[in-house]
Amino acid sequence: MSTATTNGLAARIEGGRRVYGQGDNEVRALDGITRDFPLGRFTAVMGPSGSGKSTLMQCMAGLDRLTEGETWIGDMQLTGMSESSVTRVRRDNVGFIFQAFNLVPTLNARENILLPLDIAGRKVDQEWFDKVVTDLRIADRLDHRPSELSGGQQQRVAAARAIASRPKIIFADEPTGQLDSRSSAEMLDVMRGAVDQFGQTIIMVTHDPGAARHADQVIFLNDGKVVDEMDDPTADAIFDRMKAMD
Amino acid sequence: MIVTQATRNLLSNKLRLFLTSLAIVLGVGFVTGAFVLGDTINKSFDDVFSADNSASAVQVRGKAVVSEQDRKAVPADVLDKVKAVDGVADATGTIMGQAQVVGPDGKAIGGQGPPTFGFNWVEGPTNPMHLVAGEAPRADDEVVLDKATAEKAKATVGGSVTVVTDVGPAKYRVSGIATFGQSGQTAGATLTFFTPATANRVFTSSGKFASIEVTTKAGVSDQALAERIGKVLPAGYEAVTTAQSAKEAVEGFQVFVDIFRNILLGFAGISLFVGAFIIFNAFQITIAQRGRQIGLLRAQGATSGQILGSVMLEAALVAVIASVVGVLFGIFVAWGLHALFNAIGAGLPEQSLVISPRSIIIGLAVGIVITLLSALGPAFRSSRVPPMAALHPMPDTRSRPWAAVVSGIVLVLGAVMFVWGTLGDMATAPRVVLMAGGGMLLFFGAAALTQYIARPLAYAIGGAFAWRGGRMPLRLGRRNAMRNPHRTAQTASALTIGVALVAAVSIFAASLQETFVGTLEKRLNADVIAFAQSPDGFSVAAEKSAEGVPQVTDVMVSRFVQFKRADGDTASVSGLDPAKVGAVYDAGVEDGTFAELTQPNTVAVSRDVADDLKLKVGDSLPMTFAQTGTAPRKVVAIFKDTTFGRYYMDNAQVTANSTRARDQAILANAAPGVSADQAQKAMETALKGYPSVKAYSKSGYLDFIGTQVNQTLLMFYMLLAMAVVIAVFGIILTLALSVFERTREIGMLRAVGLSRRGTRGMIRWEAVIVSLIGAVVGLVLGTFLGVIAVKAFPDLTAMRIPWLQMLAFIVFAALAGVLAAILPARRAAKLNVLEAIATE
Repeated sequence: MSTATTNGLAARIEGGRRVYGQGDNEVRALDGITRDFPLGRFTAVMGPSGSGKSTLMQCMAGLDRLTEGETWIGDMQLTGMSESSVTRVRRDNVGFIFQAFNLVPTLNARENILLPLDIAGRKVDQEWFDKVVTDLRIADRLDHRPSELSGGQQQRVAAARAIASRPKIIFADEPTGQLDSRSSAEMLDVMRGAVDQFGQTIIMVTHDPGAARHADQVIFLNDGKVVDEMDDPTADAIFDRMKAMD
Repeated sequence: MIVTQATRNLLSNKLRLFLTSLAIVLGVGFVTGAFVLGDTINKSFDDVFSADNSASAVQVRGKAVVSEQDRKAVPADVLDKVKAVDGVADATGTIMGQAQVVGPDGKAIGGQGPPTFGFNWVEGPTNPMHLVAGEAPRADDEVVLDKATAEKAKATVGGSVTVVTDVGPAKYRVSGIATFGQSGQTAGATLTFFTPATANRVFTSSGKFASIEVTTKAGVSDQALAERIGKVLPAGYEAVTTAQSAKEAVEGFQVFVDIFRNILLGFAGISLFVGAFIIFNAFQITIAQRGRQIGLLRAQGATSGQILGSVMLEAALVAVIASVVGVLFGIFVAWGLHALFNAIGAGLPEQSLVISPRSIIIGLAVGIVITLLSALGPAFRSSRVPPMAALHPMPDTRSRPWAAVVSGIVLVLGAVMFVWGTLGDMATAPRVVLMAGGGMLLFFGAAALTQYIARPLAYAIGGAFAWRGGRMPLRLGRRNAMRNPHRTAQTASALTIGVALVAAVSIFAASLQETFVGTLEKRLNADVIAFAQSPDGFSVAAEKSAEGVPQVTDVMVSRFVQFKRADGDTASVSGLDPAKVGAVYDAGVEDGTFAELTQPNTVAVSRDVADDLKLKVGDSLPMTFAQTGTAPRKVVAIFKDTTFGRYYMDNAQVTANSTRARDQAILANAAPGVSADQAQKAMETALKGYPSVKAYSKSGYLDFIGTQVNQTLLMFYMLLAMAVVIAVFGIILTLALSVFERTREIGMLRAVGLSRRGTRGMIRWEAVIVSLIGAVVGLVLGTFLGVIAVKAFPDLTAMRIPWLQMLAFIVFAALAGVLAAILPARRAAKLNVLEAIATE
């Protein structure tokens, strides 16, 4: 068993393997990944389609289970936990921003943002809430249903939902995938701001070099393995690295 | 393309197919079952009464002046006249009466519906019985029993059996056992044969016959002989061929079989009505879900006609599958009910099921037509989906304001039709049409209007559960119930129908109870009431046994006989003892006095009859009795309470006008110094020999009446409960579909930390709220229907709404919701979060 310390880490994966299918159909989505994600860092995960980047995120977030290896959120080891314990960890420590906005259509923006807190039965920190919605420029849209919001607004509500509960870590899966360039830029500024101002930890999966450049570090995945990493990346450098991988 | 599309859609969700079909399967099952069972019972009665069973060719009998059953007895000298007619080979007189066979345990054999007949054993070709053991009765204390009765009474040839006749119970030696006619079936009737002398004595026939059976000489037709005999008969008698009398007997039974069949068909109608709602609902929802897919087809060039065809084809497949299964289920229902009736002692003859093509065709046709009609609306809607729907999700259809007005008009129209049909004065056919049509419109209107109150109602009901902590699952469930009020209303309406019907019946039952038990409690003063346990009443000999009991006083017997009024209506007149009635029962005499009933040709009538016929004390009322013909009777009293009858005569006069006197009740008070309980016990002991009558204390009697009322309505409750069960399946269906529809949303909720338990709770709360909406609307409608139904029966003088029961229905509805949510909730909780999020 691992004796690795998780002090100062937001998340950790050790010897992570995720295999789908059997025999000839076997697909190794993750093929032995070990990685630490320090607190207060914005990490982008990149790689071509099928490189395992989404699987990595899902396994680390407790949405999917590793075939082999271990994951931690903070100092909580998800591997071996019961389904309901994992759900609780997710509820209390993890925020999500998905590609498709994933808001509950019957709840208005405010209710959607407060949903994880509500489910957990936790009180909202009003000051924090106000700051988040103001920063995300949705303070005047709080009483609207998702169907009455634009795509960018919906995604900002989703971001607010992830940030408002002050999770240990936010997982963002292609958060700008369905946004136009202006909305994308806004979204990434918000995420960057959350990291810089509030020390939020974010792991973002993306295939867009323009998005990934906002991160502190980019890690490159291919065939389920970490093949490279880049600190303080620029869009061009990322682009070149990606091209080299193809 | 269309065919593949339709079959794929159908098979892609087998749960939906199953749940959609279920209601139709049940409805069609009941339709087919009603016809198959009706045919089967009719066939068995045909066999029992078939002319083949009778060796005689012509029957001589009193004319049916009052009713088929109640005919004037034939004097002995008529037999000689008949015998002298040219062409008569043999003629025998039949003596007939009520003979209750008693089992070794002292309990009555038969008599719960099918008759208990006693006859004289006749020698020769007119006797329809075939001895299978022993011999004909020779001695005065010998009897022959039919085989089935002998088996039930555990009587063997040479053994003894107790039979209660008009002269009381007596032990007889079983000289023989016989079977009836060709088939040996008696349709549950018990047959006892005595020697002619004994039959004459025990049925107090004074030498008269119930009928004369005649056989013809070779070369004479039955019809010709019947005509010839008719010429020599005195007035008031007739000669008919046996074929004719057999036909009449069958028709008499057919009336009951038809009533029963119509009840079953009524429930089939209710099942199908609920089924139509569920099908409409299911198609509506799936088409809404498939909006994008349909839009895609349209974008690629499918015409709206092709879309319509595809949906209707899918409906047709459901229709055919469900109807075929339904017909098979119906045959099973018929078989099951047949067995059930025999298990509870109806004594239906053994008879293989009669499955006529008609039963199958009607079942199939009803199922297919209703399914297609229900799917038509959603299919049209689907054909109007624009190609643009492929690109944009369709907005929720907003209801148009005029729709509410139309629904309101439909509701009011339905209510008016129902009230008119129920309370109005008209023939049966338009009444049924108005009531059924009005009821349906009422439900349609209510179902359509429910969507306007579904949102506030869901909000209020959700709020009512706030004591549960107002936690997330409840709030989400409430939101879901409020999200699409149209669908919530539709889902709820299936339950609305079930709850409304159950509520209406319970109001009717409570009012019935209240009327009878309430009135009896007030007006019945007797300490002991001995009451008939069979519709045929009990032997008049019981009176003597009761009078001999020292612990009771004021013993008053009540017997009854049918008569015909001048306007042709048949009614029943009860006998009483004018000197004793006051001590045991207060009829609420408003005018005149019962004492004068001892005068010849007198009668007392109830206030409503008097008002109806505009009678005052001193006026005359012509009454026709089978035995004595028509005579005017002077009205000597007008009374208020109709619990025991609307016409009273002196017992002696009732007896004098009866062909066969039977008693209905014996009322008595405890003798001075004797407790009511002791009096009841003493009466019970004295009447031990008469299993068709049972002695009750006053409270025991009230309980008995209450139980009777409940038992009468039990079958209604059971069948209505089925409508509720179907409705629950409807809720399961809608929930399952909406879980499917919300896959992505549920996945997201799970991702942000809603536990499986919380997910199940959310679905459960939605189901509970939807069920309660249905129940609340159903209770309102049911109360309306029940109140109107009670008003339709002038006999029901008390109106009672059983609030506690109504409350119980609400609780049951909530439980039904919990139950309905089990499967869909489990499905929702088991959703794979990853796949759910990925679902487009």
